[in-house]
Parts: sequence; structure tokens; C-alpha cells
Amino acid sequence: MQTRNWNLGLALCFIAASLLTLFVWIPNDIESGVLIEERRSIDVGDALAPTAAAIAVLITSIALLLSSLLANRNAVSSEPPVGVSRSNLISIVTMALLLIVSLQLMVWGGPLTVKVLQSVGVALPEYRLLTDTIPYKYVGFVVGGFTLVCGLITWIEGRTGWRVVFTAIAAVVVLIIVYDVPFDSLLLPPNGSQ
Amino acid sequence: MTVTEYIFAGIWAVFGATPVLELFGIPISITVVMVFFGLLTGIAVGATPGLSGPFAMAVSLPILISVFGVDSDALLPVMGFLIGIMKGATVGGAVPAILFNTPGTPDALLTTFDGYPMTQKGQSGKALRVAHFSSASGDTFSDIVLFTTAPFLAILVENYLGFTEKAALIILSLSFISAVVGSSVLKGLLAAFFGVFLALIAHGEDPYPRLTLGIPELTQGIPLISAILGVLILGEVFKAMEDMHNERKASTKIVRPKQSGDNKLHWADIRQIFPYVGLSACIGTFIGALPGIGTTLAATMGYSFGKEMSGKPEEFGTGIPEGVAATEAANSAVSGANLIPVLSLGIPGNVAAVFLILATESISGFNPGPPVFNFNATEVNPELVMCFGIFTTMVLGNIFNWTIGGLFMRATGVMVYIPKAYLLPCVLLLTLTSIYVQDTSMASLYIAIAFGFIGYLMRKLNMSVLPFVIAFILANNLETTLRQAFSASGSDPFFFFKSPISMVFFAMIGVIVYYFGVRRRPDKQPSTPQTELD
Repeated sequence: MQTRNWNLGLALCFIAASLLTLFVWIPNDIESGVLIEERRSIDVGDALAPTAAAIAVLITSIALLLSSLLANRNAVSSEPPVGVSRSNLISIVTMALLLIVSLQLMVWGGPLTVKVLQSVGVALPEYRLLTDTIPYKYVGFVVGGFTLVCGLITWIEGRTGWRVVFTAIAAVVVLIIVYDVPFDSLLLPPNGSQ
Repeated sequence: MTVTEYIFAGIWAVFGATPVLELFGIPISITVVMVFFGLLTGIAVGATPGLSGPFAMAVSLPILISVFGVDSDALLPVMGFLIGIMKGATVGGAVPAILFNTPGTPDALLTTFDGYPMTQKGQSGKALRVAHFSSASGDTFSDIVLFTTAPFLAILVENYLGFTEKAALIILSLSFISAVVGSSVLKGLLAAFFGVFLALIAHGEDPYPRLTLGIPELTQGIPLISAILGVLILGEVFKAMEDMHNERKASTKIVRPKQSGDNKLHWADIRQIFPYVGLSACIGTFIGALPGIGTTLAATMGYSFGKEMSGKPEEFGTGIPEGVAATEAANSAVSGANLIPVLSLGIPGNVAAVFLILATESISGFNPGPPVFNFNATEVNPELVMCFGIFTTMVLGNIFNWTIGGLFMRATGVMVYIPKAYLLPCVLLLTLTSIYVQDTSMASLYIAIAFGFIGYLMRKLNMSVLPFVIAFILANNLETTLRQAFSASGSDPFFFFKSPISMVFFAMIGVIVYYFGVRRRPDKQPSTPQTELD
């Protein structure tokens, strides 16, 4: 797709979004209006700034739409080529999946480990009470962080090996040493949200 | 207090802070130590291809806040470290450019033109010394301009601009940044307005937080750190990882040619490069003082003007010290001047300044802007003392740079051997961890990742992320100023048009948008690539 078409698509998306914001979102999700009258004086309401911003987005999008429409279809654009290809989409999905899986492992790694240990008879309280206890507090971060670094390097390089595994372990250990060991007040993910 | 007393109070705030060690019986304060380590970190980060000063500033900010807290005592050590990184990164960026033909930072691309040919001739040591001398000179000159200009500009703004004019000035700055960054003014403006809109979520005056769609995680607004680090850092990391994934078969072995002959920097060499350093320092300082224009443009202009001035343009690009000096002095001179709009107007002009503003937002007791330079306060103005403290940390950074910076810089050549494919996933985990330890919420991570993908898409669609980020930071300040201006005008909806100064600002907006949007031709575009972390 040409740069011109991508600009047209971008402009149309922002026009649609700003119209929805102006006529649906702002009227239904802001208590006061654009201007409010209080004790015979007029004051600025909470809706004014978002409305002004949405109108500015709308006007700029229309200008972008018109400039894209008026641009000669065959002319060489002054902009570098833009757009999202099929290969870009595959990359986005791959990175997003790796991030989702890693963060879920981070969140559930600790609680699941505790559950498994409880099921084999180890006397442990629930994970929430162990978020400041070694080694349980590190389980989620280690598993999730390792998966994230290892997975991404493997995806970038197209191969894996001991060097990748060692790098992932080193990254996680260094972060624990930097953030957790010296500071009592800092919590590694996900221990502050349990 | 007199001006001199304020200056001495600022110097004392740096040197008289809690001592952490003694050197030859002299107590060394924590701020001095932080500037020192900040500079070394910056040089190392700048010398690592794939990393940059803003990366290091972004990930170190949460750690610094955790160590020093958010009281006003924390300001100088934290700012000292961040300023050290900012200064160091511009020096370090030249190392891989000269030794391996790989720019460590985007602005060092021009340094490769003469730096690497010098290395091929066996003069890598001399090239590094020239780069260090030029970089430190440009940076020092730029700082002197900052110290002398920022207070006058701030006093001018405070004395002559009311709420209406200040609001118009913020809009003018945003428009300027939107127009000059990237290749499309309309997309720059679109990014800025989009940033303003998102920043307004939840932050109103009604008891019910506006525009939250009933999502509880949004009742405090979109977390600033998550949004900014997401768009700036994660977006860049996602794009860089994808590029590496696509180009993985093209990797080449790094070879460093050996040194031969005289590699020292003599007075004769300094005399030879001095005019180029002087010219480029002026160019870099001027460019740096304008919000939104990055170091790459300064380096390009410094190199081009140096080439013109030399009378032997054909020799540029063949490995001459003048080429290295012209580039390095220009890109380093940007860093000090960048703080002119930050300190005098409270408006960040580039990515490094964004993180300095974030530090001041996190730590109490210092709000950059015209009121900082109130010399006539009936009592002591603590913000002014802090400001002179910040100036002192910059001088200290320069002293460290002049003394040990060159030595450390020449030792960081090994950083280029760190493979980017291994480094960036670690940076991603580091950034996510930094965001989490500051906000302690998984929602902040999800928001950061979402903004990371927004940043990635913006880059793919050629929408500059810098206007978005700066608008996001300034939006609430702009709304508050507009509310105050509206009230002060007696609820006059046409208050902007009643002030001649604000009318002038709006006329300037029109001219800027017209010039950059309609008049600018493709052949006027800078020929060197600029990244959003420039």
C-alpha cells in the first residue's frame, strides 16, 4: 500500500474516533459540561479541554485526509515510506504473545508453585503471605523474566542455545540484585499486586 | 538574598550535602558521587550500540527515586545522576562510531564519516581524543550559555506574560515541536493533540473522574511513567527487535584496526580544530535551545558548516580531525542548551529533558518554570537555590568529563561487542521492572506495553512520538493555565484575542505550520536519519 493510502486510513481512523469521542464518549463520561454557570459567573467545565482536544484532532485529521486526497497519486511523497505490512503484523503478534505469556507466568508462577507444594504436603500459608519470603517471592519474576528474555532472543536470532539461557538467567539475577536485594521498600513484579 | 548568595547557596547545596566518603581527608557529598557515576554510566551507555542516554535515564529514575525518596533533599543527587548520564552519553556515542563504524547514538552517525577512516589509518587514539576534546568543549560552552540565558528568559516571561500569554506560549511550543520533528506537520500536530487528549483522562475538577469508561485502573489517569516509557522506550525496543529479527542473516564480524604512529593530541592539533569546535558549539547551542530539534540535526549542520569553512571540502570524509571535531562539538553542545526551555519555561524540548522533568515531577520542592528565577522573594527562594545547585552539578559533570571522561571513554570500546539481539530483550525486562517498582501494579505494565505498541505503530506510520510525549506531559498544566486565564479575563471566551502578545504567538504558530507544512520541500529534509530518542 502506498504512503498516501496509509495516511488516508490514519486520517479516517482519527476522524471516526474524534467524532465518537465528541458525540458519545464526552457527553456520557463527563459530569459537568463545557461551561458551567455558578453563582452568576461562568466557569470552565471538565468537558471543555477534552472537547477542544477532540475538535483539534478532528480538524487535523480532516486536513490530513484532504492533503492525502489532493496529493498526486503518482507523485513521489516527501515522507519516507510508511505502513504496516503483513510481516510487521506477524512481528507484533509474536512479541505481544511472548509478553502476555511471560507476564502471566510472572503473575501465576509464585501462587502455582505454592499450591503445588501445598498439595504434596508442604506446610505453607497462601502465596499472598509469602511475597516477602525467599525463594517464593522470586519464583514469578524468575520464571516470567526468563521466558521473556529467552523467548525474545530466540525469536530475534532464530535459534537458541546455552548462551541464550545463560543471558536470560543472568538478566533476571542482575535485576534481583539491583532492585530487590538492597531495598526493602521495592517489590519485584508481581509481589505488590498479590 | 543577593544573586551571589544564591549562587553560593546552590554550590553549598551540592558540596555540603551528606558526605558518603572521604578523599584525602576531604568529605565528598552524595551529589558529587552521583554526578561522577552518572557520567561514567552515560559514557558506557553511549558507547553501547542499541542503548542511549534516555534509555539509561528512564530505567535509572525509578531506582534513584527508591533510593533517595521524593523529599526535596533527593533532587540534587537524582538530577546530578541524570545530568551525568546526559553528558556522558553524548561523549560515549563517538566511541563505536570511531572504532567500529557503528554509531553508538544516532547523532554519532556523522562522526563515522571521518572518525572511522582515521581508525583505518591507525589513528583511532587521536580520533577519540579529538572527539572527547570537542565534545567536552561544546558541552561546556552550551552550559555557560544556559547559565547566562535561562534566568533572563525566565524573568522576561514572568514579568511580561500573564496566564493567557503563558497558555499561548505552551501552545506555540507544542506547535513548533510538532512542526519540526518528523517529516509531516499534520501528523506531528495529530500526535500532539492525541497526547493532550489522553493526558486529560481522569484529571478534572469534578468529583467523578472524567473519561475513565468506568475502568477503575484509570481513576487516577493514565500513569505518566507507563505512558512515556511505553511510547518512548518500549516502542523503540519493539521496532529495533523486529528490525534485528528481519536482518539477522546480515550480521558481520566486528574487526578493530590496530593503532600506529603518533596518537596523542598536541597543542598544534587543538589549534587546528579549535575554529571548527567554536563554530559547531555555537550551532549546537542554538539548535539545542529550540524545543524539538535533536542532536542529529545539530551534528549535520556542524559538519556541513565545518566543511564549508575549511576551504578543502573534498578532504572531509577521508579521515581528518576537523570532521570529527565539527560533529562532536555540535551534538554535545545541544545537551546544555536543551535545558534553557526546561528551566526557564518548564517546557521539555527533547527526550532527555522529558526525563529531567519527570524527575522534578516525582520529587517535591522544584517545579521548573519562570517562578524558579524569582530573585525578589521576601524570604529565601529554595527553588532558586536548587536551580543553582543543578547548575553546579553541570559544572561538576564538565570537570569530571574533562579530567577522567576521556580516559574512561577510550576504555569503553569493548561495549560494542555486546550483541544487540541479547541486549534489547534484557532492556525490555529492565524497563518493565523499573515501571513496576515505581507503580507497584501489574496494570501499569499492561498500560506500558499497550503504549509501547502505540509507539511502535506511530513509528511505522511516520508519526513522531516526541510531540505526543511532550503534549502528554504539558496537557494538564495547559488546562490549568487556560482555566486561570479564563477566570482572570472575567469569563471572556475571546481572552486569547485580547492580548497582543498571545496574538503574536498565534501568528507565529500560523507561520510555523505554514512554513514547515506547505513551504518545506523534500530536498530541505535532513539527509541523516533521526530517531525518536535523538
